[in-house]
Amino acid sequence: MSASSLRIALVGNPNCGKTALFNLLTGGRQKVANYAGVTVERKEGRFMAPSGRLLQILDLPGTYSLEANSPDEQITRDICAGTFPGEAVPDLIVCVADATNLRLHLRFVLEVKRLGRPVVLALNMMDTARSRGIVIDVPELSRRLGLPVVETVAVKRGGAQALIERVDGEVPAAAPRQPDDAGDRADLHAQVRELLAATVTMPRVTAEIDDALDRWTLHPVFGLAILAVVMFLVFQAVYSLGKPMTDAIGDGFGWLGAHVAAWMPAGPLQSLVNDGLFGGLGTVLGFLPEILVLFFFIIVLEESGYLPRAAFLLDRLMLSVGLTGRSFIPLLSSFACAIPGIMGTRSITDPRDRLTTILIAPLMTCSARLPVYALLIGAFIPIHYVFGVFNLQGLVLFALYLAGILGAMLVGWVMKHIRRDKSEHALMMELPSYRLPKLRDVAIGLYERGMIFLRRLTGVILGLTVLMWFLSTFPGAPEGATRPAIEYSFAGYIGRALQYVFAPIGFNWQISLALIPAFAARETAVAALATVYLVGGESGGLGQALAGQIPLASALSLLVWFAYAPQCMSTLAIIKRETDSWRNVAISFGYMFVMAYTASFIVYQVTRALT
Amino acid sequence: MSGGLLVQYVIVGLAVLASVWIVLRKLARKTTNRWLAAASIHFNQPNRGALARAFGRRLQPTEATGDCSDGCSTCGACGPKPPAAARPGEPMPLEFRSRQ
Repeated sequence: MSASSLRIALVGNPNCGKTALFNLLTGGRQKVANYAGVTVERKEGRFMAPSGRLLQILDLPGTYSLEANSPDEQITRDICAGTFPGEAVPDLIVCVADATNLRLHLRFVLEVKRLGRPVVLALNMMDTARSRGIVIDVPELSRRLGLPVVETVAVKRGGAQALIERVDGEVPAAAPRQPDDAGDRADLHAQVRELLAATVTMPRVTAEIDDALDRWTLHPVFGLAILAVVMFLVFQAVYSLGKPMTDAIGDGFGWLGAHVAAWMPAGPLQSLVNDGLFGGLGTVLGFLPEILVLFFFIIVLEESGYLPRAAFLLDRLMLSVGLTGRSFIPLLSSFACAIPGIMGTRSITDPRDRLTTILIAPLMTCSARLPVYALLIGAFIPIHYVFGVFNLQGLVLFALYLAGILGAMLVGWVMKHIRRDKSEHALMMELPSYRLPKLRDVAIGLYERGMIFLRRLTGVILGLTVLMWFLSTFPGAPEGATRPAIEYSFAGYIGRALQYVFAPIGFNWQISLALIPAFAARETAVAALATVYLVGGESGGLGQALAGQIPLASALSLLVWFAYAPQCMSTLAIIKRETDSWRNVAISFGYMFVMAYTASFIVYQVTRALT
Repeated sequence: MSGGLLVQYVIVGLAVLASVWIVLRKLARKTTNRWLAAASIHFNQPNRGALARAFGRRLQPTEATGDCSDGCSTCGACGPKPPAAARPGEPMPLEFRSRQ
């Protein structure tokens, strides 16, 4: 430790507000949510204390004990013990505890104290504790623990002032290190009870409102009905709220493209700007509102504390298909993107359950597929209200999400029946207090998601769109050519070669070609289709071009393909990274390809026979 | 070919080259990092001029700082980072054990 810097590790039970505190101290924007297991890796940030001292803050995954069971808990254990490769032992451990739930959290505080490192206890969520009538005798608690204790409210500006003042001062003396012993560990519970009796007055163990809501949300029948209604309304809203904005952006880009093209001299640059940038990229950008609407609901659900309840409700169902309720939150995260979902499986203790969850997570419909779904639904499904209320397009979108979930359950069920270990693991999960989502957090979350989308758009999607335009434009048609120029281009040749594979499922050469860039980023399929059709001379928007060029059977087949198809390369890379096995990557790619091809083949052939 | 058209082809050519680079960086991060490191060493030699050395230093690939947990394309770290749990005594690699 140098006099001018201090290395501080934030540790504590899951969902006690470590990351919120980290964000408050460092100005970071790491993801926070109201459930256990959001942080699964160490995060580092810096903060200049009022004295001018540099504080290096480590945000570590939450753990209930230093006897780690899951990979995320192992990170915390090893960093605290100073055995993490390449990581210096922290100079100071700030143990964060939820002031509304000290019965659970103080046990870990006692365990950390035994490490023999300097420790400060931060009693977080003190505002909630006070509003629930919980009174904590902080000086007495500090005296009995032999540790400095400070009060914090990590979600309020200035809520960490006491902590900053404490860590900016002299580093507290470390308690003597105590050897780990099973008998002593059992004794920790008795010590917690004593501490609580002496220092904490708590009118109720849980909040009254939580109990009242849980009577409904955890009800075996009404709870499931509430969950189904919530999910259904989310997907209805994605289409009903997002579609008008998407149409407006699409029209705006069409108008802008036409004006810019009219201003530029004819030539390859004009074609690139009009067909590639405005046509291709503009079409993808148009789907940003729908993605943001989806994320709005995901963030609100994450913040509210409802998701662990949903996991609890679905535990029995998930057990029947070889999963556990613990898989629910990683799978739900996969609706945003499979990558954080797969990383989120680090909170699953059992390696077998973790692998199953990793392999099925890509079947959850990630937000990158939303533009493809929205495009095809808009082009082929009429605007019609079922029972005068439900938007048919929204219903189809819901059905596609459901198809992904059912596909995942099917794969889980098959894996359950062919694996050696058939034991079932009980779900142990903390149910947090309900919380009204804060407008600022929701706004920051949406801003972050929007920026991620725009970074993808102006990075890899832009690159792929330009390449797709190049392949669709060069070489030009030879003299005396009778077919459209694009059919003589590189894209035309590649697309027709691929069509041999995809013709049985109803894909024309343009769609077959668009599947290649989609492997790098799913949304690029939309940009690629727009570019190929615009270069091919189509006008009036991609939706109209598709409706005029491909039959309904092919459109439905393509929708089903995207529901099950092998994921983008980043997902396969993260499967390799998390499982350390190429075999699992091959299994994941192989089963999804077979599943997607089979489902698309059935849908295409059946629809063709019926229409 | 007119001068104006030539300029258009040059701009389009540069845009296509830049796009190839962007896509390669996304799909083959390790390989492109190796290329950048080799180019960086080539330019950053003591016998080179200050400008070439500065260019060499700029080419030096940086380690990804994020961890992908917020979503794809947020950190560009897909691949190079070793798994956090791959330490002795821990269940890595994860393997599927089928019924005998």
